[in-house]
Amino acid sequence: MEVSVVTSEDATHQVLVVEDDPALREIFAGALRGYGHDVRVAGDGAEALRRLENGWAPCVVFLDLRMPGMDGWELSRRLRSDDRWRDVPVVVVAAHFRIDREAAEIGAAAWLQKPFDLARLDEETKALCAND
Amino acid sequence: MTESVRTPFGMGADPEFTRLLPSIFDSIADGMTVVDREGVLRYANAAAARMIGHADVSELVGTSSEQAMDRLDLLDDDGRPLAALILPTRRAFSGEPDPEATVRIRSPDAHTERSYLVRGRLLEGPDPDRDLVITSFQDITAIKRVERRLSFLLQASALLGETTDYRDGLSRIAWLLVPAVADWCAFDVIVDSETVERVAIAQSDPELQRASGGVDRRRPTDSTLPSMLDEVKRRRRSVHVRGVTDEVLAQATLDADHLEGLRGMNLRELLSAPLVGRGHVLGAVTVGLSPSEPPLSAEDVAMIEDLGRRAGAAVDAALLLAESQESLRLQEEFMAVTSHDMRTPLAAVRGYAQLARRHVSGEKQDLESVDRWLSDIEESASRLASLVSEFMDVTLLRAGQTVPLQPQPTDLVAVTYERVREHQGAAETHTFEISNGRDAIVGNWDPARIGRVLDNLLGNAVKFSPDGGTIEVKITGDDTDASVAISDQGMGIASQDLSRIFLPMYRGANASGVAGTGLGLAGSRRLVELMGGRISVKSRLGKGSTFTVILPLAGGEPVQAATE
Repeated sequence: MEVSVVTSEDATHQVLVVEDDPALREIFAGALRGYGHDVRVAGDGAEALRRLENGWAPCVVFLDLRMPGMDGWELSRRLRSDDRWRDVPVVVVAAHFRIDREAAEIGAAAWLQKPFDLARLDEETKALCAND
Repeated sequence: MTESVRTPFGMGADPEFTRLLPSIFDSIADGMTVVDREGVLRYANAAAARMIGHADVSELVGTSSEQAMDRLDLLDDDGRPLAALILPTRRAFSGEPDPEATVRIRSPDAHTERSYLVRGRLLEGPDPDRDLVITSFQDITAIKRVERRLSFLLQASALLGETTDYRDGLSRIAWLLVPAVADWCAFDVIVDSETVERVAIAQSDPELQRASGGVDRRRPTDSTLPSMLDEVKRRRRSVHVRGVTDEVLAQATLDADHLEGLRGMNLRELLSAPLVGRGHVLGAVTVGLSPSEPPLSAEDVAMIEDLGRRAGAAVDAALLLAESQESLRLQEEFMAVTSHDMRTPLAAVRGYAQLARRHVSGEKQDLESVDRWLSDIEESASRLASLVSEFMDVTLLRAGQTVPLQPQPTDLVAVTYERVREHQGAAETHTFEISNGRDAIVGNWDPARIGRVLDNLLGNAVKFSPDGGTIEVKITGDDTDASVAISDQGMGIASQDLSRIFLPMYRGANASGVAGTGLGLAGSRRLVELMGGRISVKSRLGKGSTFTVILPLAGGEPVQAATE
């Protein structure tokens, strides 16, 4: 799979990755950038809100749920209660064995259970950002 | 019997036989009376006189039969007062052919109660005024008792079988015993070494209920006769107090109020029988009788003891079920946390490998990044390996088995500093303060296992001080032993929980809402003991706890293959 070359058919999308594990943060961001997307990262919910506040608008948020500080549940509540972010689709990226139930509970558009093929990050981004 | 009554009259010609007749009737075990329409007792045999409570037949004959019966409590088969009107004697006079009834006769002093099958038969006279009724009383007490006990035990078993909540079953059984067998009944179940739960109580008399109200509603350990339950527990069989005296009560009560309450219950006799499940005393069933009740027979005692065994089996089954459900829930929680913890480094391994491959085969080769990612893969893999081995430890220790220790010269100071650094890095509202008496304290220990124990204790210190604060870690040592003391300023542990927090799966009353799996205190203690040491704890509720690990420098005995 060739990912380091951005072809004209590959649109660039703005993607936010919220993940407390530094290794996984680097991996997810590296992979998404490899697919040509504009990626910003945050280590917890509070940092994610700061990324959003300065006018940068993602078309998808990859969100871990269990994080120290502001966790993924709280962040998704904040997003849902704010007109600016209410419609931004969230993809839960977690290791929990009941991730499907957890994703449904916060109204996520999709979920990826760790570990997974990094190509799934690009597939979800393209699917969810198609209308942008 | 009617034939034999009729025949002697026909044989009146034989004076010798007539002379013998009273002796013949007196030798019959059944009571017999002859009453006329006026209600005057014309004849009673010796057995009838005894039943009515007279030693001498001659005292009775010529008196009113109802007067004679008046001294007695007449009850029907269900224990309700019986009107003389519906007795077979009256019914025979009113024309009912061969009436019969089961009648319980209670002696005036209430010390005996017997059941009789009473039959009446009209002997027609030359005119109705000279009609007589012959009444026979067959003593069926023994049959009735067996019948009553059998039916009681059958009902009790059915009740225990049909409810899943043993409390409900025991409560309904208490109301079977009261008022049929006793005036007061309670079921107590031992929750743990210090707590007893009164799960059911029944009492016949509302007055009694009022008098005992204050007593019964207290926790059973300090309520009705705790000494009896202790005695039952100790002797593992029933305790029977036939004459409850003030002295007995004074011994069993805690204070004047309590004594007053028990006196108010006015019980003459008490029996406490153990609830037994798989050989253990799980509690007791206690019945009390007021002075107006006949005392418990040996058969009654045996029945209540049997009931105790049946109830014990039901309680045991319910406790086992609850235990296995809790164990399943913990198993699921353990699985959830373990799989979560393993998936994260696994995701890193897979992710780095994918990134690395792209940067090796893509147009832009970036070997420097690839090299770094390969190191990251190694690091994640060793994190995974250590998680797997911790998982193995937890599984082995939970199953009561030993773990294969790998003792080697280990510096407790270095291991402790490393673990504290790790926890400090993850902590947000906690500050770790570490001190050590010596620069290095080296012993023959398994460094990975010491690290695991410290992780557990440091993690607990954080978890159980949710408001943050300082966590003090003190390392000390001398020529033979080393110790690490970890003190938090958290919620602390109640004194009644202190002895039990090291039990597998035990959690203190105030620990709900704090997630818990992993090694746990039980596993930590086992690991430390395998290395020849011990863990002690001091705590004050609301002030914090100090856990101290003490390890001999020499380490533990070499561990044999797990045989437990």
